[in-house]
Amino acid sequence: MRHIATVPRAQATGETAEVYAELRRMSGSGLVAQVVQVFSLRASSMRRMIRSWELAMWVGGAPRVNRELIAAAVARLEHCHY
Amino acid sequence: MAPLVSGVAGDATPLERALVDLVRRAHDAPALLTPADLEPLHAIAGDDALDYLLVLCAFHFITRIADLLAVPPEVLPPALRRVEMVRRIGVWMTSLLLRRMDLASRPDRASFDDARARIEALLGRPLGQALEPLRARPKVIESIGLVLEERDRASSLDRATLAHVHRTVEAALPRSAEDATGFHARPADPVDGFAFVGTRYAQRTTPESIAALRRAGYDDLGILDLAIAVADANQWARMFRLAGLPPSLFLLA
Repeated sequence: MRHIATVPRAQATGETAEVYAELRRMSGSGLVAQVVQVFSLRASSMRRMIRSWELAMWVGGAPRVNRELIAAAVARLEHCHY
Repeated sequence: MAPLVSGVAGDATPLERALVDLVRRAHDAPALLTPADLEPLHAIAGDDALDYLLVLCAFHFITRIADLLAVPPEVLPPALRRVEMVRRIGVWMTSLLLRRMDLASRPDRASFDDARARIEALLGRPLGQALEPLRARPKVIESIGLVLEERDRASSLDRATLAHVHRTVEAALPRSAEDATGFHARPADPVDGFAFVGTRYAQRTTPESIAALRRAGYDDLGILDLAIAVADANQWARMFRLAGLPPSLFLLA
């Protein structure tokens, strides 16, 4: 159970709805990651999360498989439930 | 993954070993990191080491946000993952979800000078040579700019609270694996406790600690901003030490 309220995509209006649309364009799918939605109380913070994620995992030539290895290793050592 | 992280994977490549070694050091003793810790990876991967540094820092941010705010898993709750067959089905379902995404690499279009100018505008002062270690990967500078914008333009927290969170995170940063995994007295103040747990073992955040923040006057947006402040201070703790940047670029003294 999430500790704070969020604005799901279906209920989003205005700038928040625009940011959900930006997420669709960035990821190439209609999926909304829960860790992005948790920022939805403030559209600018959700936009920042999406761009940070893109810079880390998409932008540049380093192989995706190595980036995923780091992400998985960090999550494992941190015992992250997500 | 488990054999790699444990250091017993016999078929790991030198690059995979260097990546996991760095991840482990950044988890066990981030307070002791220096640019020398990035060198083994740089010797193998060249400037891609900066791409990997950004991923490492980004996931110290993302994992903390997820644990501090109890973000629900995308596919399977943790309890069900303990059943091997169910876990495998979950991995298969996750792969189906990922297949729907565009995972192709995208060019880093930013220039070093433009990225640095944006940071200088945000901070209102020239930075001289401070960002030179990141010259090969302007996207890392763009990422730092996003963190600064969050701190200075978006957060509902006042500067004194942000500075307090930064000091608490820096003081709580693990200096040993025991610091990152053991059991320690938590600060009684709800904000200090949130930052302390969020720095050492964010997965131990409890509904009671969130309730204490609410009693102290924080609403949903305030709790989100506290989580962002803790998570950003943690990713910055690793970024400035490994890249050799001035801590004061982000930390409010």
